[in-house]
Amino acid sequence: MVVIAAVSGILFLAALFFQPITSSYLNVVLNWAIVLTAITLLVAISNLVITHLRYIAVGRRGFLFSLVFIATFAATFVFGILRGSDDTQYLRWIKAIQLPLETALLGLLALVMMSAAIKIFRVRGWSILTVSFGLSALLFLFLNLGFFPIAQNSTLFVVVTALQKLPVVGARGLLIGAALGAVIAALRVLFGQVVENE
Amino acid sequence: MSELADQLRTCPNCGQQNAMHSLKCIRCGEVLEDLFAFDDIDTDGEEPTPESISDVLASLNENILLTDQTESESSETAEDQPNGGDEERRSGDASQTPGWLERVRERTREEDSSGEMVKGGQAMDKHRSAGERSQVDQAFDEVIQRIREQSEKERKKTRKMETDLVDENGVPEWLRRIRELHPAHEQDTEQVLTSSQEESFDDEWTDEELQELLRREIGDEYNPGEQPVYNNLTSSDNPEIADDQSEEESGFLPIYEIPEDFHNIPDDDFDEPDNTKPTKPGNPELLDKDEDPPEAGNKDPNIETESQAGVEIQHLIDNPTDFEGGESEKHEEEENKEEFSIIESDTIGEELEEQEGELPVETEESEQAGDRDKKILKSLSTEEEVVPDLLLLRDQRDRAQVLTNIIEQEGHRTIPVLHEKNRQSKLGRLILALLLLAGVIISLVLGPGDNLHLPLSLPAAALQEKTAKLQSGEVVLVVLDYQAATSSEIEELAKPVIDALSYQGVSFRFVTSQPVDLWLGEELLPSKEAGLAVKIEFIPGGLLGYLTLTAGTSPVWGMTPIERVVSGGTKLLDETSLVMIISDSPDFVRNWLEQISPWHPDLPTLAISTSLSEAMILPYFESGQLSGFLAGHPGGEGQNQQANQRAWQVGMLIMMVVLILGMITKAEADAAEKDEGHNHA
Amino acid sequence: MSNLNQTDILAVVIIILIIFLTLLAVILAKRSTKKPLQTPQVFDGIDTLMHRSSEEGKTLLIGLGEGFTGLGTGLGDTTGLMVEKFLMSQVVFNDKPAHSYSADGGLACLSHMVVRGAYEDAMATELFRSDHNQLAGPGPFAGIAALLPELARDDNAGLVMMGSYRPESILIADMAERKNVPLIFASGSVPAQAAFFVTEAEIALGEDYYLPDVGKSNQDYSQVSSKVLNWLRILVAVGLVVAAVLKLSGVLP
Repeated sequence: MVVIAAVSGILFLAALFFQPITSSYLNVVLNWAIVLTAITLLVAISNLVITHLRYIAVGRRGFLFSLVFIATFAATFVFGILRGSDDTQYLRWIKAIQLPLETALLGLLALVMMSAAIKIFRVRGWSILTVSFGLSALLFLFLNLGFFPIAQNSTLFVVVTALQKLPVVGARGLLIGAALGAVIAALRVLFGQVVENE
Repeated sequence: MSELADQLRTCPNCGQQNAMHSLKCIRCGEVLEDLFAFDDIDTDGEEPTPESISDVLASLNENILLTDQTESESSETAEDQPNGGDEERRSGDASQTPGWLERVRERTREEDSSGEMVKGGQAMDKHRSAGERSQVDQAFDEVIQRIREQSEKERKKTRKMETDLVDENGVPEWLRRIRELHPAHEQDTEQVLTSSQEESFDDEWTDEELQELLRREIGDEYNPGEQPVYNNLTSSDNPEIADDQSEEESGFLPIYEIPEDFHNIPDDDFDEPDNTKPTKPGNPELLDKDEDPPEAGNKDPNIETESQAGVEIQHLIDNPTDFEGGESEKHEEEENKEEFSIIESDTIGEELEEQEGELPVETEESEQAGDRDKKILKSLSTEEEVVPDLLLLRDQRDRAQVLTNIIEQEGHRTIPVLHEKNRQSKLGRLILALLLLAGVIISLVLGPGDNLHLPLSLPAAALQEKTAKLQSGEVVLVVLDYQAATSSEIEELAKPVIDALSYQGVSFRFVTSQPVDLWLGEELLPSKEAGLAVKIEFIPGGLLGYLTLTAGTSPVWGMTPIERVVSGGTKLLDETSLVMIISDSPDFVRNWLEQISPWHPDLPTLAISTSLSEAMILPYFESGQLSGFLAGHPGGEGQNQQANQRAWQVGMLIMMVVLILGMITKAEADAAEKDEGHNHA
Repeated sequence: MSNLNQTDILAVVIIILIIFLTLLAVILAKRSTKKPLQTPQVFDGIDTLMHRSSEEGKTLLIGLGEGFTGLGTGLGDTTGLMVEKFLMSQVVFNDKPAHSYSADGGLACLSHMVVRGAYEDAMATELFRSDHNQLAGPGPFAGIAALLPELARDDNAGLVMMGSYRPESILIADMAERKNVPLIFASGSVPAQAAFFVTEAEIALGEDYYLPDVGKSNQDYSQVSSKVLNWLRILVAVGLVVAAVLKLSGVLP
């Protein structure tokens, strides 16, 4: 399996660089990958359904939630098959259920962030990282409020613009580092350097 | 007087009547030499301890080594007691004495007979000629020499093996062991080689060491040049010695057990003598407690002179020096010498104090004592250090240590991540939530209805500029990739832009790889009044699907599955004038810019995302990969009507207050802790 | 032959450079006697959490994120699988098996294979259950919603989140805090790192995520990668400085 992964990765990489010649090959390989992705998703979904059915059969704690899941999944699946995925009524129903649920979940995020903001110094203590985090958060929250007409004052505008470049600089450094790490990890997989446990 | 009067003996010192079998006078403590007088043994009035003949012989043999020069000094002999007179006296009274007295006298005779044996042995020793003595000495010396040579050979073999050992990195074994003593300088993975072979750096006595030892014991009078050379002590001279040696050699390798606190630093014997471990030479712990200690024929007056050395050595016992790897061998030898001298002085002193009135042993017993001597010497010379016999990898030892730490920390949290549950924290969260809700609701309800005029951000301005330049009939590819949770924020930002573009007569093509966007994205479709009937197309495979349609070309033999599904197939971007990414994830925007855009570098790309993504997308805008983007509330005209910016400002302010509050509470907590610390101090 | 533009050429050079540096690091690692580089503490936390779950007899939860097939935020992210492989090999015979959750179909299938392989290697296939690792949801929010009730159970030793995550996954951290479940988070997503920084979780910042070294099992890999990353950072920094100087001096347009 390691050999297969390495060979296909190298071939794909070569195909990306030798484009006019390998373009069709690239198309075919990517199609295979897409089909495999779809199949894996189907397999995972079926495994999920079977798992929750097993939970219901065993009577595992919280099996009622599994029951709700199975019922909802079955209804969505059946109606989708019967009415088609383009049916507006069908899509409206789904949206009416999904949208409030996920929006409420995201609404909790604001509360979580607030409670995290009040605890961060208690948890992580005073360090360069936490102090800089706190100060920069305060600064940029304040700047984004729009209370002060920054654009009208040239000096202030220059200062604020310079300050707003700082997160860009940091983000760029982080992105470069993350990209290098990802490349190294990918190359090691390409060349078959699979990690083995002791 | 009764019949008991005949059983009493009179003390020659004070005249006190004592029992027949009394060793000492009950009044003055004078040793009753009538019964227990031995030849050549100092009778200083102390009670001699009963000991076996072999121990006596062993002590005599030892003293032979030491007392060759001091025969005259050690020749204090006990007076020959007229034991025979006692016997005559007993026999004379036999006819008149009762039975119990007869039994007592018989018993006395038996003891007396053993005393006669001892007396006889001593007399034999005394009457040995110089030649006979020298023969015995020579035999004994030969045995000692042979033992020494064999041990030397073994040590050399072990040393050679160890010096030849080199690991894969070219590091010698001895150096590796030294490094192991300093974990800070270890390599990644090391083997902690443990061996059942003892380290024999200090297990044998060299000639110099023995001479030094003798010098210490005897003092300056000892002259190594006059000592007979102990050579060629072969087993042929004494088969019993050979047998003993073989037994000793076979059982020479002790069984080591790994102590709980195993480490490579050898323990000092001074503090914790352990009977289970083979100890350094001269360790009294090694001596079998059931056996009598070796006896000295005479009290050695040199012990007096050794007391000072004993004091120094006792100081060393109390303050043992630490083991240093680089000086291990020499230090060990010094320690051995010191210990041996300690033990010798102590042992000799004890022996002489306890062995009053010991009789000399016969030749056979002398041989047995010699054997015992050899056993003692050999076992005394074994390595002190307990070397475990397990081969452990350092990784395994680290894991075992981690497990040990975890077991020790059982019941304690090892990862300091969580706080304790308490009602106060729940109440705090509730208060924060209510505060936020109250602020937002109040700002919504009671706030001014006027829209704020927030400044337009640079990326937003760039986006507006780019979209304004589009001409009628140009195609804009809108890539949808957001979830239901963020749809409210995304759609508020994207809707005006799409409406503006549709007003300009631009054509749209909506694609998505997220199934959820098939129904969420309908909110963004241009209004039907504009005369545009647009539907959202599904691209399977996510980013792989986009990559296929962008980077690949149709093969000559036909269309691939994705080309059949997506209209236009691999020419998806060829007919596009502008790509607009509407995503709530900065990673998707990033992936698009890194994976898809390079295939069409001239195609401008815009992005609409949440405020969360602004920081991560900004570098791509700065570098020119992104032509413009909207993230959060961009400000400017036309954007204000979609959201209540006053409520947004209130929310931001509350967040700032909460952050400052967190800093203040932390500072207060630190101050309180410091005060508490001062109070405790 | 090919239409390689400047970006492509630069990409090829970088790849060749990385390959060369990797080989150099591997060769030097075998000869080096220096002290190894310190690995990120977050992976020591994973190791400790693993041992704790074995000791306490509780379930260890593993979150693998949503990024593998490209449907989610990440593409080809298998670092979480690497860690899961090691974890599963160690917790196979725990009182309660470890459960892993993925928000990507391909990732869920691969996780299934990894877990099954761990049981096969331990010759304990009878202990394997397919519900030990499952698809939490086809999307990121579905994945979060599926993980929350599992985290709310009482018999959890801890949660290890390794993979591509969104910042919204901080909800999981909040639940972990409320349930006193230790949480370890490692992701290549920078916004997610920033979001989890304000929580009580042990996090891996920056590119520490790409240097997994759990239980000293892949220490060589981690050490070599660390060295290569260090050299690359130096080269990039030098390049940026030189480019800035050339730009300021007018050499570069």
